[in-house]
Amino acid sequence: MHKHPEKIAEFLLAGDEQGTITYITDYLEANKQLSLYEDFLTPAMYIIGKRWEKNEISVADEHLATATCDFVISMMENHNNDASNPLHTKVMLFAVEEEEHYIGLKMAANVFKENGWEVRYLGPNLPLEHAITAVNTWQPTVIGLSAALSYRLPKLTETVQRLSLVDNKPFIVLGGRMADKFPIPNELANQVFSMNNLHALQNWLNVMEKGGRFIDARSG
Amino acid sequence: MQEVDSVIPVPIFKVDKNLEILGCTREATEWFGQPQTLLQIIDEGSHEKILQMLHPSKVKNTFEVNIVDKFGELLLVDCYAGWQGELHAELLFLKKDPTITRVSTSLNKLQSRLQATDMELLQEKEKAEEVLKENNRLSAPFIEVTNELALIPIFGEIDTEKSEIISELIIQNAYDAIATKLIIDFTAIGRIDRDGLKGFNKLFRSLEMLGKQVTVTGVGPRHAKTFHELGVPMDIHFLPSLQKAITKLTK
Repeated sequence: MHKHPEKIAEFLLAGDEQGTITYITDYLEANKQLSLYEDFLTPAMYIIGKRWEKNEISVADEHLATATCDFVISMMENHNNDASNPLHTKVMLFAVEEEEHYIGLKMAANVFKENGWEVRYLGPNLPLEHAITAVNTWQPTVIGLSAALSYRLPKLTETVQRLSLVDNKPFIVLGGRMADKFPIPNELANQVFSMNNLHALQNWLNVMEKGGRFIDARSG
Repeated sequence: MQEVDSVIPVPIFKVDKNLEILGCTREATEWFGQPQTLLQIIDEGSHEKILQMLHPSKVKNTFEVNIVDKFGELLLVDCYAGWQGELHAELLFLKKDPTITRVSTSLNKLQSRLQATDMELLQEKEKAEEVLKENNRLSAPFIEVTNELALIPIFGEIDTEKSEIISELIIQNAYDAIATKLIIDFTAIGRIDRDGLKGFNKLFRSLEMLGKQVTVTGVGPRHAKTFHELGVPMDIHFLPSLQKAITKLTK
């Protein structure tokens, strides 16, 4: 087991965004965005959470690390991405009301971008009514939803129920720690999917695309 | 539950080693109601932490923990805990220094503003792209001069994308029109890249297949060379000026 996540956790806790980027660039294979998220940043953030649990750092340290991680994600986004999007597929991502965790959501947004999707990232803590208005106006093919804490389960349930009913019947993809714990109702089994990591998300995109499940958004 | 006697106005709990609450101060009741066990008022993300930190082996300890008050509000507090032997612990919660909360609230606000600006920029970019597309579509009007003859002047700089858009448009218009003679005028074209020219070559071939007779006018010296290298279909005529073409084709 390599020590990358521990090293990165240290850089992030020090608020050293340049150090983080330099370190990662040395080890990351080119164009491996998924690996950047899954092998480097996510495990580092997980270590930081554990260190708070062990009383080694404070919440203030965690906030600094999160902001630094956020910055690193933005800086390391692949801007030369030329993936085509013949179906004009669109995804809208947000975290449910009161949910403030957004790093995973932002990574998921970038996975969609890497796949050529048109992306609307609405960030954390989005009131449900706003979300519904936005979905009706923009008609996304997929809605990416995230919730990390179990207190959000009722809100998540309500959000999924309401969004599954909007006219263009978008697919709903759930991420965050609550994704696994969310009981997907049987009648929504073809519309709602939960992902516990970004590899799962990438696989899902591949399978759905191969299966012809994403129809041309313009004709929809 | 007994009331813990303390003159200091803070929530203090007395718990046993299973974290059952044995007693608390009035302030604790005001904050948390009447919980049975300590875990009831600890955020579940902090359960693991409190079980580790609040352990007789630690004797005295200070740590951060997230608590849930009687209104269900989540709050980060500092917890000071100490054990009386192995069986009882006392712990008190202190709210975080309000300046920290203030700073983190302002940070959050800044972040949402950045997020909003980001979104506005994205929407503006999309608008600009729409305008560009519309502009591209308007760069090759199809003008029917007589029943036989149509004129298509092309405007602006031509790149691959633009040549694709206007080719599609011209082919559709040519198909719908009765005119069989088409003049494609290059006079108003600024710069044109090699791929753009290639696109035009394809367009000429498609128009031939639709049975149209194509005359190209206004080709500049820079374009001529590339056209030549690319090999233009044989049946395409080139004339230096639009005037000559119209005179010739309307004879």
